[in-house]
Amino acid sequence: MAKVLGTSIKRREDPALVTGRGKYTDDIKLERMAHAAIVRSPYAHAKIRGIDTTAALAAPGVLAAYTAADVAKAGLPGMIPVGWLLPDLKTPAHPMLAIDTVRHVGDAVAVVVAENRYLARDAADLVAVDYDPLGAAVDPKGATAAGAPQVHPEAPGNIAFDWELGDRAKTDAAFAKPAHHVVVDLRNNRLIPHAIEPRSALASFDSSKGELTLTLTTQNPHVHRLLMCLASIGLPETKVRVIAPEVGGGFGSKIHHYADEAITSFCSMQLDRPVKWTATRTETNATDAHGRDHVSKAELALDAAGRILGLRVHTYANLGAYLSTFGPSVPTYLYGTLLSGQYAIPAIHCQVLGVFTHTTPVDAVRGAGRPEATYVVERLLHLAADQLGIDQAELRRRNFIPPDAFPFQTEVALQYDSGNYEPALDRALEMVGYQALRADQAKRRSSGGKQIGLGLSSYIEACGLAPSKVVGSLGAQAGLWESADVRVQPTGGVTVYTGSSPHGQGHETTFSQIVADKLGVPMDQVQIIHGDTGQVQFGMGTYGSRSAAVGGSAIARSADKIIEKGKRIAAHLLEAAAEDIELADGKFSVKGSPDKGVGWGDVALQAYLAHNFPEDLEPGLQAVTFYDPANFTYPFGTHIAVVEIDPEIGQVKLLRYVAVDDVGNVINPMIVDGQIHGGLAQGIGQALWENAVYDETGQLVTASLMDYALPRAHNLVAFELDRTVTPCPHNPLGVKGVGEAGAIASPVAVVNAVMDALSPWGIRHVDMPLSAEKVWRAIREAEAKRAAA
Amino acid sequence: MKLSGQHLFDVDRDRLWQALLDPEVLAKTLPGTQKLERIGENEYRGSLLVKVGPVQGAFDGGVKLFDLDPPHGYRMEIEGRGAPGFLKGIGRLELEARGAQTNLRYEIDAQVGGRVAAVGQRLIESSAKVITRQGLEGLERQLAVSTGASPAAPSAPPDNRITTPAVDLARAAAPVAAAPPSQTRLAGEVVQGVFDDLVPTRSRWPLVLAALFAVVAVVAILLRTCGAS
Repeated sequence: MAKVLGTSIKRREDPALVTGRGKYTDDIKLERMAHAAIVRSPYAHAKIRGIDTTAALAAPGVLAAYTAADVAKAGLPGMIPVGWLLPDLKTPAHPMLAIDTVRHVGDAVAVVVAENRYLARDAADLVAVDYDPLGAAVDPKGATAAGAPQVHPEAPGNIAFDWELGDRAKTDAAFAKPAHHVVVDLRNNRLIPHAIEPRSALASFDSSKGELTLTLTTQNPHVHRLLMCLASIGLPETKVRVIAPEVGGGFGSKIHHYADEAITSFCSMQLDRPVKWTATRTETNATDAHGRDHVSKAELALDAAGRILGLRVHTYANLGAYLSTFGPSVPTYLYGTLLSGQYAIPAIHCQVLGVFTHTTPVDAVRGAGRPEATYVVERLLHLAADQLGIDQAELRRRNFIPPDAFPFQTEVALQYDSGNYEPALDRALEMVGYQALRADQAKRRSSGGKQIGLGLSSYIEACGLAPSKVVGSLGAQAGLWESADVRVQPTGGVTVYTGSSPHGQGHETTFSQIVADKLGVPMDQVQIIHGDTGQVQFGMGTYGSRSAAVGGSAIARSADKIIEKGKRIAAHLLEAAAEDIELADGKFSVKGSPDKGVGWGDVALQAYLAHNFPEDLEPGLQAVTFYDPANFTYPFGTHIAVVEIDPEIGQVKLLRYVAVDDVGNVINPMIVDGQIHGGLAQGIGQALWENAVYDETGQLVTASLMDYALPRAHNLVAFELDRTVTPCPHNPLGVKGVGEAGAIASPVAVVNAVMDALSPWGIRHVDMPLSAEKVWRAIREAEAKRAAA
Repeated sequence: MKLSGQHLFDVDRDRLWQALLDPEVLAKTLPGTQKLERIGENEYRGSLLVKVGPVQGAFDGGVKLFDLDPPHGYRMEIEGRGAPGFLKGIGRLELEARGAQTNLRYEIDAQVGGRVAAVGQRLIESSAKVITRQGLEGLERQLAVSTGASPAAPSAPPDNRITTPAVDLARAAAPVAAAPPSQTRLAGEVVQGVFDDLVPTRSRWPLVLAALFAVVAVVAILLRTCGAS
């Protein structure tokens, strides 16, 4: 049989999706379905003096209008909980409809339900809310200043947590008298995730059974159900089914439990009718959890030979107005733990202040904490190489963790299981033609005009979220294992129930490849069922580049169990000992006598007929696994961006982008390349264009795609990709995960490239996004300074 | 958002001062004003229909005048709310006599929020400039009607700042009916304003030519395609 694992098999999902036959939440229409429109705060911070729904209720087609008072009257808990706790975390309440205060533009205040969505939206405009506007805290550092407007009385100074990691005393000692001290202030710009499908919820309550079916744009239906039932709608999990149909992208934004699905469910429960809510694009931008938004001071200490002695970073992390589902974990466990990068750093200390502001909540967006960490580490490495006059590649090489040092215990809690960093760096340098580009750069610097710059990013990420024991020991109160139920049907087909819930990644293809490879059955005999709490045992979902490494490993384990059971059945049929049975090419046979065998189909059928099984052999052929990884996985690589800047107008042009990644074993190279491409587009977007901007009163001024610049195809280049393969040593597939690598590595590669191009002007750092205006201003300022000197 | 500018009126300062305190005059002056009434000493309430880009809707709000220094000027607080969002501003008007004419200088510092700010971000400033300009022109016409004269048709402003030419009373013909400018005219002028902001005057002709050429090319292609089929 042809090899299926490691082969670029075309995604089986795509024919339906690319011909418009995919069924997304908003495509689904139910009998008697009504539509909800949510009334949202236009103010960043205000007291609600009163809400008058009279006019809305009198509008045509309106069925109901509800406020927080109605939620309370119905006796629902009505809260949106945080899903990840930290020691000493302040957890102020987040009501699903604002009770007496609104805390960000877009905070839900009331809901109107009508016969169609247009009537609902028109009537929502008729809800009169009497606001008493208050001052807003917007910037994470500014929000901690004395006298700043307070978001929650429970969090004085707007500080939700003050978290640290690493050895402060040891790190301070490393900085006592270093030969070289590199310092930089960094702002990691705020991002809006922009899934192509806006969030949507369709709630259908059946009062005869007291059951709620919620069809939802979700990356993790079970987690959504759990959080909803724990804190929002007052139904037990046994009475709630959450279904994720096709989901059109998420980038993290569809992990989180939002007020909107709780509100929609509440409406359906009140009216005993199906109710649908679908966000408009502007609603999406104001309410989908945003990403990044760090203000940091980062420092690196090095000895005279360019060896790193210590790294210190202090970060203000904007959490927004409320703690989103995984909000507290992103700037802590997913950030501080990655600050060793690919380097042997003997002392690291990281302090993070999590800050409430009157802005949209901030949570995981593709990369989640790891792009921020990579940005800190690789910006520092770049500045250090410049400051010390050492070549960018050489300084990295000098400080890499050597290949014989694995497993490597970092100073920031993680133990890297494997790694081999130099081959990826070497390959990237070779592909880009490093020496020739440096020669070209030197020539351009002497001749003037447009300048080129090279930016390196030797990144690491911790993926495969998450080993429960490891995160537990770090203070988290939940692990993130994954489940797989593999059922062989009597006719030999295989149905896999996975807790990984895809939203564009191609799980149905790659998971089928794993099963086909293990069991030797044709891929089209494998069916992958996901995204439905009514069908799938508990599962944790898709995010954190975890589906292949954790979900795929769970499937592989279940497949192994199936093979063991199959061998016992075959042994019974062949009147041999189970230890003597082997499976090859879909056939069980006795070792040494391959002609004496029984086909996969016979074993499957007999498993269910089972009329003459011995007493110790149970009927059926099914295996369930709850796989908890032993460690994170640690993909790594080196990316090199080449840019050209026009000093006259400040325009940055991306010329080339080389990415060499090590994601371990590869299940489907085409899908891996696709994930890298997408991640690169987003990361380059963050570096050059994307930026969520609030004005000082807390208005989101980049609330539409007119003002928020997403990268387009013509802004990008044909990416040059390659891989090295260092398999993950602790999971059955040797895979590491690839969904986020591109977005983690690329922002800093591009910024380093632009700073490299600007180094003749003595410009050390400009914050993202590197718009033509910012670059132009930086050049003009540098020239003015030089002229004045 | 900060707006400032000046406008020269062909009336004396006392006349302009009175007009600026008369809700009936003001209601007919501001584009989109549906009503404006005095509710107390130097306090007015009313409603305004606003259209900024794709967002439109009614604002209910009030204007409060303070620091009145007749006839030299006053300060005002503007506040409006409605389905499209809210606006809040502090303004200052100063009247300076220049012989028979009066120069009005204004400064407004406004905050805009909600949907009108979210979706109309690119158009807010242009819209505000146009609303202000049309308001001043409307006021001019009001004054001309009440003094039995008519202003010249407003010509395009010399640049994108809000400075309309002084009214030439000598060219005045028959009185015109005074009405607030229509929403259509407002929208048209916003487009013009955005264009003025984006494209420097000297580079307009090539753009217009390019647009014309594109239209001709498209028509030609369509004709050929249709002819071939």
